[in-house]
Amino acid sequence: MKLHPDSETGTVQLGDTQIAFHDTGAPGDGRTPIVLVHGTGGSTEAHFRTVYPMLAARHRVIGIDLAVAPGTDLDGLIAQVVAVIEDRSPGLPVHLVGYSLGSVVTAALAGRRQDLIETLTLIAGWITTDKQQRVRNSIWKALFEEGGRPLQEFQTLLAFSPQFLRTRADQDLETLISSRTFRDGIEVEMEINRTVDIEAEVDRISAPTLVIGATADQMVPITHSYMLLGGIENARLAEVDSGHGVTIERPAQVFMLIDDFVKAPDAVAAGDTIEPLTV
Amino acid sequence: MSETDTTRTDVLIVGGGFAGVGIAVHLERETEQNYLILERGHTVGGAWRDNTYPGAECDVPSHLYSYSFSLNPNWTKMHAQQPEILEYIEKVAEEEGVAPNIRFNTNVDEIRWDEARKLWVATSGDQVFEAPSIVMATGYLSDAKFPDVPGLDSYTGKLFHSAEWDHSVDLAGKRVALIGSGASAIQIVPEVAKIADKLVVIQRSAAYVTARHDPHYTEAQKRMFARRPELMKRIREDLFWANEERYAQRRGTQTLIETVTKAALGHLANQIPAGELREKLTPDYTIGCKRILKSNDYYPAFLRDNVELVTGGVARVTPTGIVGADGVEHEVDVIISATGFEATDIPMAYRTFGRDGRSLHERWDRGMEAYKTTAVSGFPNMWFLKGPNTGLGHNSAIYIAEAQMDYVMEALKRTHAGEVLEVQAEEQEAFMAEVERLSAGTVWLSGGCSSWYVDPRSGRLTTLWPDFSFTFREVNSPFVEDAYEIEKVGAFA
Repeated sequence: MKLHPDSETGTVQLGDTQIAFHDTGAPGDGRTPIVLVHGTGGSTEAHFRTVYPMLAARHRVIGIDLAVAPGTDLDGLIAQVVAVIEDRSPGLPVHLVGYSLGSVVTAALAGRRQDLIETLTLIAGWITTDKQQRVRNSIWKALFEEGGRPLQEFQTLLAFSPQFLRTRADQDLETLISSRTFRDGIEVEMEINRTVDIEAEVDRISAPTLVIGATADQMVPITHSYMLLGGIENARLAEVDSGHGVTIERPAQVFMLIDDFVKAPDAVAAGDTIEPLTV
Repeated sequence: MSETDTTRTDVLIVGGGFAGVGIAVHLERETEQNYLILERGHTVGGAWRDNTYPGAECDVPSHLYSYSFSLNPNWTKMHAQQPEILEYIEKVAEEEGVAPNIRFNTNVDEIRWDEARKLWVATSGDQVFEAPSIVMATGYLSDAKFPDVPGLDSYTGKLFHSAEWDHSVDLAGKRVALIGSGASAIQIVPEVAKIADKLVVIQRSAAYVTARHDPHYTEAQKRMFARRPELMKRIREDLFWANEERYAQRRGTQTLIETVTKAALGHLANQIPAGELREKLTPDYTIGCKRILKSNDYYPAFLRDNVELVTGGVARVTPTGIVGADGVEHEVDVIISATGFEATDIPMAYRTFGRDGRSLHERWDRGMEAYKTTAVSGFPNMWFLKGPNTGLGHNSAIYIAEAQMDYVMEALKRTHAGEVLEVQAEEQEAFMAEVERLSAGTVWLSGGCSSWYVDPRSGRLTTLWPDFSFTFREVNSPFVEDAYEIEKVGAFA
């Protein structure tokens, strides 16, 4: 799958694990890459299909497709991202962007390996899994064991904002539900999601950070983004009127926020909330 | 010409469409400056006053296609029709106190810079208007363009342009030919098909047409919007960002182009059975190169017995009919030309003269251009709204005009304080190089179609902004004085 005319696909080997990536540049080309890490059950294509080419028009972009197998844990996912960064951008710290579970991975990584990070962007991320999230996780598990339509509908319902679902054409809504698949390893990621607690790592993040929260997020309610704003010293917040699937609902806005941020990380002072664009 | 015919004001505004009325609202709300709008028509609204053809409505949803400073809870449906849009802008002009400052039926003959007095002088018949600043809000979709085909002058039936609809002609039971397949044509065809005896549609190139999602707003929704105006703002933002996403489709990313192409061709396949007709209606260029249209009733019109589609454009017109590329003559009582506007070669440029008496047309020998889309070197204190590089293939024109208004208001405050501002030629050149850099690789220059977006003289993209709409605001709203030669002449009394 070619996400952009300039993107090339390759793999990085980490022990027995092969990690796929999509890169519009090459190691040593001098361009600081934006590295995208997807969320639960996703891939670069599934979660950054539109954001990736938008960013690639102006930056070198690397999308990582995490390899998830039985027994994979958070540390394993972090190690995969580290391996790709060290292979594709040796000696050149990157603009690291995580979405959903990807933001947990990237936040923890940023706390442990500050040398790899120029800036950090956390989209719909969280620090500690709370009770509301665990209730959803349990329902998901029960539905996943049954499979079929109710699982597809449940995930669609929670992934998008009410406004987004309401304004789809009948046919498009049906496609949204029926085309929803659950790739291998999703149950492993859902197990990781149940018990996330990266408070210690978040406390050590020193890179300029942009926190993007989605106001109508039912999977990771925006309170979690407020917690990240509080928990990371050099963080600023942007709120997007969207559900959890913010990279699908508002790709252009997500692109604008990332592009503006990486161009001038300190343009908005730490602690501030970014003023919405005049429309 | 006597002195008594001369009217002096602080700001002259040429044109009373969305841009002209909008800047006047800013002047009313934010300054003590006097201004006059010179408007050639009998009311405000520009294109929304002129385009009264049956079925005329906006392609951009109305909650987005309206002023941010004057939201309207009463839009009757998602894409309002022309009379409702005209009523909206008339109401804004009235309520904001702009209306008394408009000179209607005032067609500007000439605009000339008076270097000695540092004033712009506009003449209209025997009237003269003077001001230190002038805002050009004439638009580029305002002068009807007829096709250049042999025999058009010899035609003895009724002939008119879609933007100059002749309502005295009753089309019921008539044989009608319609030239064109663009934004106006696709709205006219279904309406004329219902009443004409026969309708021949002459297409030069097929358009991409997608489904039109166009629900009506209920009374409850309208009152909800009136009671909680922030809900309108949220819908507006939602529509805006959805349109911004569409912009990415224009940048040559195959996956995104495939998605939208599939949607458009799927819409065609749903409405027209496989065969010759569907083939004729299938475009032969990359989607987005010309405006993507929205209609649910355009394609079905061609399934009617009284409608015929002729491809390949018009070969010639005879005294009693029209001949297509296939050489077949169709005898018709009426010819409607839905063939667009003088978008790249605007007539007003021939009648506008800056420093050293040089015309704007001469200045624009490579096609129209302006620094930050607003200022032209050699034309001090002249500000363009909705001029060069302000069109969008994907979002609301009013958003663009409002972004420019922020820039122009800053300039007008300075000119009112006695400054003469002329942008430096090299700054303009550098800006245009940047626009050209942004244009490279866009579908408009490499999509294999000919469109009004590109100037035929230079092959440059002169009407469109070749990037996201939000970058238009980032780039073109902040006024920076460094780009200007500034002459201080003292505050104008």
